[in-house]
Amino acid sequence: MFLLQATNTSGISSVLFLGTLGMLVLTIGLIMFIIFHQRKVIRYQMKLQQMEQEQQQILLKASIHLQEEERQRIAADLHDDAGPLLATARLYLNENLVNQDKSTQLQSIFQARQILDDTIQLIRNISHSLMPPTLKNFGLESAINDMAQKISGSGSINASSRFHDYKDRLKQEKELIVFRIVQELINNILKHSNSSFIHLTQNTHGDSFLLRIHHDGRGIVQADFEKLNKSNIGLGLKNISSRLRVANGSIFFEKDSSQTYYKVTIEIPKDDPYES
Amino acid sequence: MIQTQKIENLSDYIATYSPFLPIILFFLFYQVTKKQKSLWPIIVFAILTIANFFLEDYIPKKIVYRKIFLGFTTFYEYALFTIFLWNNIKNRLFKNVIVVLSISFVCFLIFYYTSARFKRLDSVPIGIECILILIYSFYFFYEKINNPDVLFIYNDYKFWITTGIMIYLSGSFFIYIFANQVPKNELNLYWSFSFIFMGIMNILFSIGILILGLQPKKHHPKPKANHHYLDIT
Repeated sequence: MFLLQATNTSGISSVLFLGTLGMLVLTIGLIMFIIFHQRKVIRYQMKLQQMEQEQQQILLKASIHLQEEERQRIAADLHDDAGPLLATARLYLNENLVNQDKSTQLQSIFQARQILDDTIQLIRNISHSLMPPTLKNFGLESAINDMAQKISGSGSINASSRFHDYKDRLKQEKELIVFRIVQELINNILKHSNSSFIHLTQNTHGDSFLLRIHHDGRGIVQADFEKLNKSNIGLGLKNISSRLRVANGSIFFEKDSSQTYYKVTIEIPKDDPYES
Repeated sequence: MIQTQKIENLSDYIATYSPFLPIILFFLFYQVTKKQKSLWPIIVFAILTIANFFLEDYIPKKIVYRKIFLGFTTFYEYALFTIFLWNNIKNRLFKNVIVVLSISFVCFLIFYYTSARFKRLDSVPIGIECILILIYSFYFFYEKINNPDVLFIYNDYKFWITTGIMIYLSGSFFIYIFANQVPKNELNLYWSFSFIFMGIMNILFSIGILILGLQPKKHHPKPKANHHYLDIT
């Protein structure tokens, strides 16, 4: 009001003209900013979407590749081990057996039985590698403890596991996912890390199931994991990522603050008790 | 002088007849536009603007009638623009803020027109109205930036209508504020500007309605044939 009283008419006119012009420039500038900003956001979102699609494509390829590898391994096991064993058993049990003397017959039958037992064991091993019976019958805790015992039993590395809070078991599908991830990680540690011990610890935090693997060998940190995940190598790690995606989980690779060992932490959301 | 008179007449015609454009387009694409509830206040505004221009000369010179006329104009302009923006803003809290501010503004209008005196125009309520509508418009655009629901913002008719409102209000803001201070001969020239902004607003409204009307219809394709042989028997 003071401004209005103080200024003369020509002053008011210029204030009016400049004010109107200023307001218009501001409004048009703002609208232009909105248009360009929205375009920028959309372009960014499209780029992000494309990157996600590419990543998904890599994961899909990795999982198909691993599936094919698994099939080849089973085929090789059946063809190279079970096939010759069964062929040998067939040789022992040929038509001429009836013309042989009793002791030769008994020896052939005994040999054939021995070979059939070996074949049964071999097929059992293949089946166990596909779906461990301990996991199916007794759950994740027993399966992981069993795996640790077996590794320790080999004498080359010390493996142990401890479950602190696993009263409420995860769903069977989630247990299988966690088990496969642990299998893959332990396999990598055994193959590449040259460590002297592996220790698994389980716990829960809020609505999350947590599992941590410690080892004192050569390891990777999160940046390496992400880099490998985006590259064409590291199929096992990509398989871990795709399994985690199914379970809505996450994984974190880090080096301990004492710099003496590596830690891998898996976090999976616990099952909703009301979910059917 | 004659040139200025011509411009004034032209702007007067623009302001009087430009509101016909969105109304015509609205009824031309009625099948599409009738479904857009938020568009109705804009059409009501255009109709009232035309009525306003034609009735203005018939208002008795008595100050009471003039106050009622100006008060009603400010009120419907605020109310209709606010309803449009209120319908399109998603945030519940801000919608409540709009309701509170609107109630306060109406109370202020009643108080102002019953007590205040003014020479030509009710500058104070118009100024407040402009500021409030501009705030709502800024918030509407802020929401649009944060949650873009269309690929290009200018494919949305609401963008054009809000832009029209903003250009008209920001362009006319200072003219309305200083209407009582500027000499009458100069004011006529500034009125022309205000009328031109109103014309721009109506053109932008029309572009919005045209975009809405020409948008391809969304249809869900049905299977062309019923493949009985695929059913489980």
